[in-house]
Amino acid sequence: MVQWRRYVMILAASVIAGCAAPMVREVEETTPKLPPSVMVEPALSPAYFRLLDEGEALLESEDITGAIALFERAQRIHADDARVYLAIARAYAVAGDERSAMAMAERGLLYCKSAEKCRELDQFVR
Amino acid sequence: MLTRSLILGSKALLAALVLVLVWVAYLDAVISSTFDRKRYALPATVYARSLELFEGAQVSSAQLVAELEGIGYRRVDQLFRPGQFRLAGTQLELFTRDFKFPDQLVEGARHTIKLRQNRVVELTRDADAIDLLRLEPMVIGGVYPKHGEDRILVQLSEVPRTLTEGLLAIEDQQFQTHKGFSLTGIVRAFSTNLQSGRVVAGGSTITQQLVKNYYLTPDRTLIRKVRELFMSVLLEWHAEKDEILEGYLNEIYLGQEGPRAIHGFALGALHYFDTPITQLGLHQQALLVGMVKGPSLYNPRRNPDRARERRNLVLGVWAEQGVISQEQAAIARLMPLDLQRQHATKQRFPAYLELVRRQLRLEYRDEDLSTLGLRIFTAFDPSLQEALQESTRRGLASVGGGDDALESASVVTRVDSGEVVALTGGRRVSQAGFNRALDARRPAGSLFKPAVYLLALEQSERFSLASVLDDAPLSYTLPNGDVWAPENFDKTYRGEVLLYQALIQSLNLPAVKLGLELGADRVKQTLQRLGISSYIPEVAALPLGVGEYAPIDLAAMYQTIAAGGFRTPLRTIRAIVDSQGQPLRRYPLSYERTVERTSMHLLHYALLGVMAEGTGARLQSLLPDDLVTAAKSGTSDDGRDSWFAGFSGDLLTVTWVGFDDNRSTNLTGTLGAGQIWARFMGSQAQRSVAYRMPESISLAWIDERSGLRTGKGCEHARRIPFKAGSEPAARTDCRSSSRPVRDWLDKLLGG
Repeated sequence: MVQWRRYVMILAASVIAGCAAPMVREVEETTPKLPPSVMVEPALSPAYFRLLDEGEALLESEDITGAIALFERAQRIHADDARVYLAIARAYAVAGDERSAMAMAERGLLYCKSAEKCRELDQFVR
Repeated sequence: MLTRSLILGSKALLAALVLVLVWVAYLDAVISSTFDRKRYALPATVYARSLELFEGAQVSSAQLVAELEGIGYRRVDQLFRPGQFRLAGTQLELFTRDFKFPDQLVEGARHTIKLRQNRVVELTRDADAIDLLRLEPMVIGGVYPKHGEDRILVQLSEVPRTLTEGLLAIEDQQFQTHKGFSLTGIVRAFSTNLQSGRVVAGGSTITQQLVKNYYLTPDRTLIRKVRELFMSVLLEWHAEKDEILEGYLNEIYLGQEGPRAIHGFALGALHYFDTPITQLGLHQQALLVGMVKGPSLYNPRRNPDRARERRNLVLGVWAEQGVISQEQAAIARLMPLDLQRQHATKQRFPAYLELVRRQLRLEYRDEDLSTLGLRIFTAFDPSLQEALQESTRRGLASVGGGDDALESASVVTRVDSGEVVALTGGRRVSQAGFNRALDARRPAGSLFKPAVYLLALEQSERFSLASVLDDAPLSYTLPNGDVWAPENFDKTYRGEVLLYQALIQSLNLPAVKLGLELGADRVKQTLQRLGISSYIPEVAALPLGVGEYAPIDLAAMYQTIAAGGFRTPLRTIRAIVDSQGQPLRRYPLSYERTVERTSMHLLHYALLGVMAEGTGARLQSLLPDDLVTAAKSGTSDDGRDSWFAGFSGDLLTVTWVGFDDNRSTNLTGTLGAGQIWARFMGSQAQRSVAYRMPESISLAWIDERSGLRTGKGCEHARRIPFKAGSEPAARTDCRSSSRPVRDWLDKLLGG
């Protein structure tokens, strides 16, 4: 009984598929590969987060140059993580350099992997 | 008569006395006005980047060993002192030295670095786990004054006791008691020399030697000797003994490296042993002290046997004088000369240093650069540089057909910072000379085409990647009446092609026609927005790279493309500090958006296509399978210039290959420069191009023959990005093969 139903369904499927797409030939998706629409969060080094934290601490104590220097070291470790661009953008904003802050945040948008981080960066851009 | 003679004689004597007094007063003025504030001309020191190791950092043990040897660390079986390392399997132990970075002093300590599969998995400092290890940077050169004197200033308190006492034992045993010169010293030196059977000690005091080096010429005349004597006494009168000794330690000449004169014990220690003066062994101290007598005669590199003999003699005198024990002397005599293995560490990378100098000269006078003792911290990466040089050597060997005149130049930058990290100016990478990376003036070939297509893609109401362009013959009348008829490289015409195909295949005619349609002035402006700052002619042939450009110009252009439309100055320098370690200037990361993100995303799609299926596809065999890169090849008329410019997620490299006399190479961009580019990127790039797709980009299926919308699975269907709303309105007859009913049935049937 089950086998009979299976044959009927295959027949029906063949008819429907055949009617719907007379000239279709399956082709592989063409190259080049597109950058992934969903970015995967890579494993990030603890050193990266420590440098970000130390930079934030300097920023709180209004040592903007020192903070940016630490953020740049962090950026050399993980240049493809949006957090560091957000951190530098904040530092420039504290320094009153809105233009640099905006450019930095916009660059970070190229790497943001979560909606929340993208939103935070977006706030600088708008 | 006698009285008159006496009067005349007295007057003459008095006049002579007055003259002598005036002369002495003059000498005194010279000493008192200059010694206290004697300022040495201190050359600038240029450093490479500091290698920072952290958990997950990609580095092989061979790379680490090369890095450590490059900064003068010695491989040993057991760690005793700073500057040593030991490799045991995949674990590396090292004893770091103190180093003052622009932002922090890092004190030396014992570290271990554990590696697994060429990645750092564990770091410790004095047995405690740490997350980051900042190695001291390599010195890659300097900016020297014309007279070539180089030195590192040291304070007396930093010099080992044995070195100062040992120096006095050899050069001036009465130093602490004499008043500038020493009669007993002369007698004692004579006696010591007599006992040794050769000259081991000189008669001049340390003070006299210092006066001679500071103020006098090396002439051996009586008047100079008298002057030296007077000035020595005056110097002793004005200065403390310790000040004189410190001056001597910094002044003494200890050898030559090409045009560079090695002065002072601190630089001598680094030059000969790659060891800070504070950490010199007794055998090393004795060798340096022994060399004072004749830096050339006792040069340990040129005359190792003579230098060893002199060192051992000095050690013997030290033991006799009680500076060290007989046992210490015996052990030190058994030591090898212990010279640093690579003594020519300076100026090994002349092409990169030239770029650093040019950037410095924008802000500093030559005189300041060679006298203020500036410390210049750059982004130079010795590991990438070595790899670039090796890729250049191999690449040229593979394409040059044995022609040694075929030249090459490359510029490598970090995509995310715009820092220039490696650079070659010719095939003879270690020789200074014509720096092709900075000074070659060549047509850019097809490397300009992306600017034309970018300009079109910015006008989304008119153009998209699927726009149909005309690949047909063209005759263009130039302002002078001549008719210009450009051709494609393969001299064929394809009729209608889509915009992305024209770029991927580097077709000339669609690019020229598009350039004419958009306007040469606007193409020029786009090139300027991308970073070309040299002269750009506003002509019809601009899309084909007409003009004269250096590889560094094209690196600036492609840096903006690689960075996603953000222009950033190509920097070599990160920070400059003064001779006291105080920060003078930082060169922070900065971006300026000059191209809107979505247009750049579309351009990236086409440049990715160049590597996946276009002119660069044949280089894929030299790249790792999982590395996604984007690039553009370029060839000027008759193959005179072969260009390749491309980037991964982390590195951008622009490479040129050609002859200086401008003859044809018979190489395309891919077959020439591409061979160097791919070898380098294949071995060094660590990250694929993977920018987040802007939200205003949509993906749509098009027919790659007509540019019309089509369905997934249809013949010639290809999914490409569009600025949302700019997708083609017209459609093919084919509908998507993705149908809910069939999908449902597939699922039901377990297909």
